Amino acid sequence: MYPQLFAYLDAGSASVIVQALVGGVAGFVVVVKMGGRRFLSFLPFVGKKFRDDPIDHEPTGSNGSAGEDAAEGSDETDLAALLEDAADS
Amino acid sequence: MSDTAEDSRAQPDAGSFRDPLSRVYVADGEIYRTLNEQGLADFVATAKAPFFKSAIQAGRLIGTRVADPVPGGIPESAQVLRHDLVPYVSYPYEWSFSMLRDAALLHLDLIRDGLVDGIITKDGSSYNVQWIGSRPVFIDVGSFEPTRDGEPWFGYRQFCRLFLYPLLLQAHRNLPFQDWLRGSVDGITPEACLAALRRRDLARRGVFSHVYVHARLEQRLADSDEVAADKLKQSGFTTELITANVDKLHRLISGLRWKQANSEWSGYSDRQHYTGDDLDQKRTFVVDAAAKQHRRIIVDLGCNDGEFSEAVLPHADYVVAVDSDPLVVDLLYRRLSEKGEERILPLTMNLADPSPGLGWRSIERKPFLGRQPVDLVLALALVHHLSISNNVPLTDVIAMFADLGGDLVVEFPTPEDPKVQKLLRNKRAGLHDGYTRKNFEEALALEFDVADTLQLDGGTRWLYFATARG
Repeated sequence: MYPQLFAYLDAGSASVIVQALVGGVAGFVVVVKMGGRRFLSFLPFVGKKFRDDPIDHEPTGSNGSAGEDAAEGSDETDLAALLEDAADS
Repeated sequence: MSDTAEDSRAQPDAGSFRDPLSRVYVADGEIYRTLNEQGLADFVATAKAPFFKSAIQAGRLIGTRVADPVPGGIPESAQVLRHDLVPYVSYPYEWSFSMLRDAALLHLDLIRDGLVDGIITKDGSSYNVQWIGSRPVFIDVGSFEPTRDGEPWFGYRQFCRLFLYPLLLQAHRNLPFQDWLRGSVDGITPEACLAALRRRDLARRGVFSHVYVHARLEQRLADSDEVAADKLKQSGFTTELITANVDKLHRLISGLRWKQANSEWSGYSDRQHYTGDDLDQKRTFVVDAAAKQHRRIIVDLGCNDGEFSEAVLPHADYVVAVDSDPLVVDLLYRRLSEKGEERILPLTMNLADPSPGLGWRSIERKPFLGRQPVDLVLALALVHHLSISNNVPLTDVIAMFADLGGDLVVEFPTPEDPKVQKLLRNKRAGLHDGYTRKNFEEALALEFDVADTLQLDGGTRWLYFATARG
């Protein structure tokens, strides 16, 4: 399970899939791997292929490491100086 | 009323509470943001990224410093930041089409630039953007976080609801999105957007994927317990796909246009109904009134082409130019934007039904009346519309101007005025017998002290400069 507590919005499965689909062929492949039959069978033209697909395997567990930490050593950063530098034109 | 010490203590901003990592406070008129440990880590990663500095310097991201000192009343937190102020707060349902479009493109530009440095926004809300005059600026600095492999853009759905769908509906169906966004603080759902589009619109760029597939999938997955995001990484989802989506959204939105026939006002700027030197007289009176003292904020109600907003600008820090016709405001915004004007903010709203308090506890988004202190109100060529077209008694019209605060420059067209005659033509005889200059002056004197009066040479227009009482 990903640390979704950092993203306070509900991802919405449909939105996740659409994002992938919009990405072109590579995205389409991702959606198929995720379980295309469930998600794509309603589409015109291509949907028929997924209605005819064999039954999916059981979903595997997620790889689930918590993801990389955000910037390490943040307490060592002089944030004030960083922001002053950004503000100076 | 609270004493000075209380005023200095920070109060939480009613519009900032949904993100546990970051919260906005107001103290002494300044804006502060608290960050917890994770929020601070995310922000440091963002501030170190090259896109951050260039966005700040280009004025696309609100100026941000470490808060020093930290005012009283701000809870213990990992870090407190102070943001530059936006001169006047406004909301997407008060913007014209081109304003919403440019705000959307700004949001996408920042995501695109951020992705190069491994940073993305957590959300995609049009409330992340404010205006410095005609320049959009991204204010939700707490929204940035590092990308994580295999994670989607969590803000995509919100971006659709609060940016893309309103723009699509205005561009393709000529539906005024402002009413819709005002009615629904979270924006337009995929299902609602699809319902408002025609079958032929499915062939338009972006509609099939962002609207049709989105809506149908939502219906289909409504009862599912699956969380699609969990499977993304192992299915090969990469940040490149987010970039591809953002690029396509950018092209799509850049190409959207609002084609609209002339509104009843778009021919107003020739001002033919003013005779002879009347327009010059009017301008001189208005500018002299504005110049009586330096004004921080002037609100120009019924601004139309913005002529008077620009005329009074030398005597103000900022002018908020409001008109009920979104087309007129769009034209004004595009003209100001081309000039790079940063001290006039154009907004659209029905002045007989100004923006109310909205959202959580009805204060998450502030009402127009009383939103911020106003030093001067211009109400030119407006009173007859409110009183006759909207059937508002003159005393109530004046009361609304008083609600805004500040001094007032108001124009009263008499019943003999051709524009008033035109409005009265469709009304039952006798209905507006109370619409007289005598009644108007009495109403005005109830709330204001009249300092100066002028009858324009044409004879049917009277101007008043009145100061706020008490």
